[in-house]
Amino acid sequence: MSTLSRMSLRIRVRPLRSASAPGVETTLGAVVVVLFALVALAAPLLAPYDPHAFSGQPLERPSPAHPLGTNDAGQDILSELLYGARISLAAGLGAALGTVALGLLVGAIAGYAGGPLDLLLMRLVDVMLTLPRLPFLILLAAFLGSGLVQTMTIISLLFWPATARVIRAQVQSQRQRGYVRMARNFGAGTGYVLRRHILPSIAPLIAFGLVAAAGRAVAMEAGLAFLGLGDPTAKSWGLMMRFALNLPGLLLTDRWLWWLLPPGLCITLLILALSYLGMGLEERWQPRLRRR
Amino acid sequence: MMLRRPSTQRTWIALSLIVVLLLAACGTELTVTDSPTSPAQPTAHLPIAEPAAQAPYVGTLRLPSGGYWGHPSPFGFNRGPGFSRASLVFDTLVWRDASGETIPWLATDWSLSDDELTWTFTLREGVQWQDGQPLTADDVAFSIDYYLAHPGAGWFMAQVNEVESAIVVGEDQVAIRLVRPYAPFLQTIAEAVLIFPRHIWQDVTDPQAFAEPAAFIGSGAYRLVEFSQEESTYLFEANPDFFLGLPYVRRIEFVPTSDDILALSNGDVAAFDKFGGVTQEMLEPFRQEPFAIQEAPGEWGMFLYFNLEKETPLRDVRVRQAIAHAIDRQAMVDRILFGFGGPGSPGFLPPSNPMYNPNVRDYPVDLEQAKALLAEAGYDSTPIQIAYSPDWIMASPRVVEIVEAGLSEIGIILDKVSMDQATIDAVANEGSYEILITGFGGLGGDADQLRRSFASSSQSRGFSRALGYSNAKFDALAAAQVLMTDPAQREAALNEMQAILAEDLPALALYYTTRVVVYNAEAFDNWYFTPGGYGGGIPQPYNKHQFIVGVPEGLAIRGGE
Repeated sequence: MSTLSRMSLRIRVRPLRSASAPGVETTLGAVVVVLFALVALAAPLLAPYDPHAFSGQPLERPSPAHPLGTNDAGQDILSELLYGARISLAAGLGAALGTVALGLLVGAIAGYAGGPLDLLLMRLVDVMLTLPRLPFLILLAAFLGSGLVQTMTIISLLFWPATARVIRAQVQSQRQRGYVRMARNFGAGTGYVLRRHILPSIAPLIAFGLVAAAGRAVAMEAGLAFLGLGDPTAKSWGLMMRFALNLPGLLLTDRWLWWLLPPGLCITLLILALSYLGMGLEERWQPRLRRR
Repeated sequence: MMLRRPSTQRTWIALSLIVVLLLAACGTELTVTDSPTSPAQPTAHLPIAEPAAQAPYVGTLRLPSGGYWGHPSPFGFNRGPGFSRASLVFDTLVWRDASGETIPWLATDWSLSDDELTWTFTLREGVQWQDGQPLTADDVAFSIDYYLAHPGAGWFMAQVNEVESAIVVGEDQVAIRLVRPYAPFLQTIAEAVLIFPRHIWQDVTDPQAFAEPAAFIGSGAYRLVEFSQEESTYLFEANPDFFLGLPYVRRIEFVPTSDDILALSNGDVAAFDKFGGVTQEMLEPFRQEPFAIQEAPGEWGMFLYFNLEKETPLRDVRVRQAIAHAIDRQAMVDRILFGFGGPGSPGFLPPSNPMYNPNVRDYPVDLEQAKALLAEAGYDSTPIQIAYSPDWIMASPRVVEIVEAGLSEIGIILDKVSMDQATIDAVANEGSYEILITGFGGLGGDADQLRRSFASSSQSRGFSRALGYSNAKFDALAAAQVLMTDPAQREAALNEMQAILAEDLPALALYYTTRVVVYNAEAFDNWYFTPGGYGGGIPQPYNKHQFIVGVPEGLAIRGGE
């Protein structure tokens, strides 16, 4: 799964366009994300069956009754896939909020306070960044147990430092700006300055941070589920792949085409879309990137 | 006992595989099928064995390891697969072959005294430890004493608490004195207690932790060459000084595989076994030469254990009966085993056990009946915790789904807790569960296991032990059947015990799996399932006897002089 997140990173960094505002990729990304969100919301209406219901015989091939066949327990794969969007997006959203909230808190405090507190918090960030993620992830998952909330917590705990760093840098640079110093000289309190001047200046960073974290969180959630560290009875894409690969000889038949590939493609597509969206936002708010 | 945890290795192979698959989106099967190589043998396509026609023996037999099963010392292994590995290096007094009869092993002769309290064993002459020291009657007595002095440390299927003492009575004779007459002695003690050397173990105080090279010196047909926890590999080489002669299979390797079916068809392993979880379609390619398939009825089962020590609604027998009525056990057979097995009997023992009683109270799926029982018991929607391990190849998440589907219909709320398989065993021991989903084998072994698991006086610990269950009538029958020498009388007692269990349901058998071994007959053709299991009741197809002698029965080594 780290490979997946690295993949998203690589795609994000690649300069895809050189010209001005909302590029086609950004729009496409946004559209796909919205589509997935709609699917997630409308899953009960769209899905032919309850994904937990034993609606068919085990391992049925695709048919009008089960467009993507059934899994090993005889549950409709299409329904699983549609409901899986809920878990992926919920994990993405929840973990992104958690990551950004933690990052914002630490970054803003460090950047604004400066001095020893800044030093302390940034060293903590450094330490967190050097921690090998996968073992740490597994350790946390083992202690916190399985479940969507735990998964979101774990991802938030892992990814906040990068966000904190970016936000701290921005806060620090804003703090030095003339107008902020002016406001402070005129007697503006910390709260006022933060609210009135600093926060608006980092808002785009927050928006971008949310989207980027969501992309990583989707990959992480799928990865955790795949490794068996999520709730094993949930209907998530990562788990669907795990169950598919758990079937002996899956790849000797063409069953992987409708069981393994669809959740894999969904994960890839969602991450890709979030990455494009994030990239678009980043370029929009950091015009320097555009000139590359 | 066929519980597998996907090793990190396997997971990583699978993971990288997925990424390849994702990136290539329409990648061909070829890129994928090439993957299951073992780290111990990076070049995966080494010949598994010399063709049987050319050589009078099998050079190397490579088998899927299915995970890490502890270190193969007499005290370091886990569960049945672990015992199977340790038994390659260590011997027992007697053993059994494909006939299911007890055969001589370290002991050539044995007799039971008239009061049925003392077994006397005559040891084989000239047996040596792998370090060249002679194996003596003193070593045998020492081993049994050591087991007695370290309760709970050894193989849980070995019922040493029935033994009072072991005494050397001659240069090559040992007398084992029992606490009381104990009918299944030969299978659950003489065949299950591994004998180890006094000169190495006499100063060892923590037997489970002892893992120095000396810990792996036995008298067995194979020497342990190496094992690796990280890679789940085990490598054994034939012991040229083995008392029966040089074994038929010269080298046994257990290696990790990501997909057994692919590994066997690619020639990476010589066989794999499954307890359910395969379909006829998957086995189809192996129904022609050089492959072959053997099946045996279920001696491995999946169970719900109800902890009656804890203050939960489960203490009311009607709640347990309601649960039994709500769970579709046949659906488990269809959807989890793909038909390779049968639904659990409320009397606990499977139909493959000679003492199986088919005429016990049954619990057909009946939601109305279940709801009525719950209402009678006054169940107030208290959530009941259910602990299970998602690691098992037996797909216990699917078991949970089917259990949950049934119980939610009748309004029982489950609080699901997942943990790894080792933790499940620990939790079973500690009794820190409410409902436990667990699986184990040995169900075809002697029916005295009912007493060990369910009698309130039983000293037995381990994952098959029911907690907090006490039924005076059951206890009386359980104590009596051990002493019964008339088979018909004993069978009647055991039948009644099953009938009581079916009423009381301290545990509910969900299903029993058909066992399948699929193998490449050119690599090794002497596979069999041991009737009643080996080493105290292990239902796997890895009886060392078949590797050592190369034929189903007897002690004469195939191709030997």
